[in-house]
Amino acid sequence: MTENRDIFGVLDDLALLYEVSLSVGQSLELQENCDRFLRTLMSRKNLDGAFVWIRARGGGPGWTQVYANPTLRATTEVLAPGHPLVVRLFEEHALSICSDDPEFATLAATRATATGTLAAFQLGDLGFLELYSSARRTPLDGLALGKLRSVMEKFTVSLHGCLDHLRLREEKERRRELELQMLHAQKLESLGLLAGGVAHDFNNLLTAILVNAELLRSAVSTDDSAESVSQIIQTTESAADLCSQLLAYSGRGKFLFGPIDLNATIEEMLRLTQVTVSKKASVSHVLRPNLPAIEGDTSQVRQIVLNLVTNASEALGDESGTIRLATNVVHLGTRELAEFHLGEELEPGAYVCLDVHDSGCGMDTEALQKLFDPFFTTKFTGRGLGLAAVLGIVRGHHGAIEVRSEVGEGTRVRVVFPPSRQTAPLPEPAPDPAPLSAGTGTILVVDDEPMVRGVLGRVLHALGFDVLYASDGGQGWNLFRAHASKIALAILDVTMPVMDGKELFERIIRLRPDTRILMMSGYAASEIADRFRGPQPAGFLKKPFRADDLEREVQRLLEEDGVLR
Amino acid sequence: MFTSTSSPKAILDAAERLEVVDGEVLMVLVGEREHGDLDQVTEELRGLGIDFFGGLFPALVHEDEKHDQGALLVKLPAAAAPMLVTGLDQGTPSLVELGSTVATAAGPMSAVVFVDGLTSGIGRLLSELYGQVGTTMHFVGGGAGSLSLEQQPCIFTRAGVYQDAAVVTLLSQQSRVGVRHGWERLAGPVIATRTNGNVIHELNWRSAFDVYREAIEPHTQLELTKENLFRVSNAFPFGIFREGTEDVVRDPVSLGDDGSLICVGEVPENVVLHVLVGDAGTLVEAAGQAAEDCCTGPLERPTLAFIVDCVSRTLFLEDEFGAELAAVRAPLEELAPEMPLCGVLSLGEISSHGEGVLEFFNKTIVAAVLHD
Repeated sequence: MTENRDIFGVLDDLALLYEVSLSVGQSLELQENCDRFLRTLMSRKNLDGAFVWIRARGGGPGWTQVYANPTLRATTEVLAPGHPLVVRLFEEHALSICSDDPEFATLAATRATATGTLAAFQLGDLGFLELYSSARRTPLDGLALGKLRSVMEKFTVSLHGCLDHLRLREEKERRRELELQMLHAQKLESLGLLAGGVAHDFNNLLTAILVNAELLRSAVSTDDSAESVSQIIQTTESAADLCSQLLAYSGRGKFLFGPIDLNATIEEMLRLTQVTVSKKASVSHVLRPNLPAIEGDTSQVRQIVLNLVTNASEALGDESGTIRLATNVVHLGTRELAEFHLGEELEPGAYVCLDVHDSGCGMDTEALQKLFDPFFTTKFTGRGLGLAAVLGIVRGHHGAIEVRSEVGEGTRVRVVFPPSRQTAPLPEPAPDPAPLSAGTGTILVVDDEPMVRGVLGRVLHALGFDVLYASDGGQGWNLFRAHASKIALAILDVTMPVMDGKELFERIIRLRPDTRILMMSGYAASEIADRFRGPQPAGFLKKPFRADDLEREVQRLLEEDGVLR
Repeated sequence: MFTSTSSPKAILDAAERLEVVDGEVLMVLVGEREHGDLDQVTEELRGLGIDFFGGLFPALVHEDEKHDQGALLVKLPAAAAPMLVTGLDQGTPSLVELGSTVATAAGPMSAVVFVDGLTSGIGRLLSELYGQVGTTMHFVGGGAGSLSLEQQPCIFTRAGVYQDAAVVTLLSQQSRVGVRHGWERLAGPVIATRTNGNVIHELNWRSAFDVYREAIEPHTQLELTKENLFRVSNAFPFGIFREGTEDVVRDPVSLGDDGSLICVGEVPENVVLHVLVGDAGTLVEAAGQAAEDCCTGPLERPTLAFIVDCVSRTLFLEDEFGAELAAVRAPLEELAPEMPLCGVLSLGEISSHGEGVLEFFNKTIVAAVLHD
């Protein structure tokens, strides 16, 4: 009889081990692998809890629970490296204890049952497994624990496989994300080039329209005509604003870099946006005192604040809500920066952060993915350049931007800038415009756009100058060499066929280093300045410009030379 | 309350008489024979503005009698509205909502679970159910449907009548549960080397039917065929090993074209099976033991005895089924003479052995006593 009982016992053990061991390693997914094995084990052994702990990932100390059944008993607590259960297990490899043992409460990591039995198994260096049975009132002896040893070894190997699979998948996902980010950046870059090119050409056209319209305004006699001309000027200025946004999006719209007090810029812009922000919006700000200055162009940083506040206000729609602005200094590591657009290009370290948070309608994942695409808008109105322009400006300022949003939960935008090495200067009062003086002498105008040459000539003639015209750099160079002694000022476009403005500038300066040269371009002054490594042009005019701007710049340059009286 | 017919009007009248109030839920158990239109039944009950749940079963148990026709209505203290789970054949259902209800609920609870007994995915449902709520309460329930084994809408709540569905109702009372079957090992072990859900394709790497036939024919003096399988296998179910308790029974009810055996309830691949056998004596004794398990030790105010007994036991026991009911009733009467006894004859039973994971049983009786 004893022999028979033993045979049946062995058969039951074999039956259990056969099924349980085949349930191990059925999936490379960690949860599913644990689930298949442990559900089988729980069912056959009549257990009511199974919990897997592994070393905290990322090299942190302690142990993390990666599987819990039932999930009701799952814990997110990290178990201390020196937890008594871990200490005992790494000495004994397997143990079992009943709730009537005073040590039970100390050893039970998950505390899945108040009464019953705990059995725990070391899973190599990887972690350990806790099993609970409420029904069992005696601990498993060495023999019972030993019977499961080979299964636990197999389970440990399968867990290694799952974790390797997980690491590979995460690496693959990270690479894919990086590739997507790169593709997106390339797409934005291409669009930026296109936008910049279009803006540049439009600026030439707008310059001609604007200057001609201003000249026309002083010539017309009737009120009706004057009104029409004013509307042409206004419309042209709106078009110039759009060009400016396009340039901002292309990242080539920066003008004058210097240290900026971001707090002061925000306060200034909040005063300006009081009229435009929704009346139902409660706008507040928390600005960090002694915020380091950032290096940037004031008008473009204003544009960032304006666009973000406008977007936040529009997200509220007709509903009441809040818009909170904050500034701070944040320390960002590689991982945090990877969450930001453009962030991967930045070095880890301290950044000045602008934080705009609204309680509006928020966005879904699809909208978030297209957020920075030019001409993408969630609104019925608008050109969809707001955030695209912000991204361009941020790129131009070597910063990064992060947008978090959920439908119905509002949107939070964080823009980070590298701190300036200089302190922000106090704003200086703008000088009163001085009356223009009459001029004498010859000015060389070189531009491939006949319209631009025409309007420049009209303005300069009106000021009393003689004007020489050239339609490209080569022609300009020939004219300059022929008339070098009498040319008081050369006004050169930067982008031209045959010989561009930079090469012409360099040739002129080599031939006559004291020549006053005024450069013109639809691009940013700083970008133009970057192209000149040695001597710098005496002045710069951003297209489109008004007749007044041209007159003042010419006056400034020639006064220094005593050409103007 | 028992009504001899299950017409919508009869059920509505009975429900009105029970005066279900807030904090209570009405359990409606309908017998299969000549049953009323369940859509109409739910329509009528919705009009009362009460929470209700129920199922269509091969037969009902009321006190010491079995009824294959009529309806049983029982009002129960509810901890939450009945939760309907549909699309069990489509994949693992999400029971996160139930988990959070349980996590935030105060006081002891029990749960009644009815499931379409002929749907696939009952194992997944019970795994998920246990995963969400663990051992925080006892479960009692079983499979609804028709003894013809033709699947049909058989689970209902206020939301309507559903097939491939389950309903889980949390009660604000504790329960004590007993689970027994009385079947004993005859032959084996054999390994279920290829299975798919409730279908055993291979045993010991051979045709499941061939292996099964070889195991039982010496004990039946009959040649096992597709035609007589249902009748013969009723006396020779499979048992799945479970440490420290009776084997979990699986009932092979029909034969597939490829020689596979189709069971009520899932058979995990690689599980080790024994062929079981029983007689009226062991089955009746086990049923009495299940009821006694509910009555052991002191109980605070027992209010209802509820049994879920496999319909195949009645087919096996035939005239002796009355003895099974009597064996169940005896200890319950001793515990609380006035305590009502009701139940269903089911297509599979649901509970756990003691405090372990939830299981779907065949040919088993689950007895429960609700108490304060």
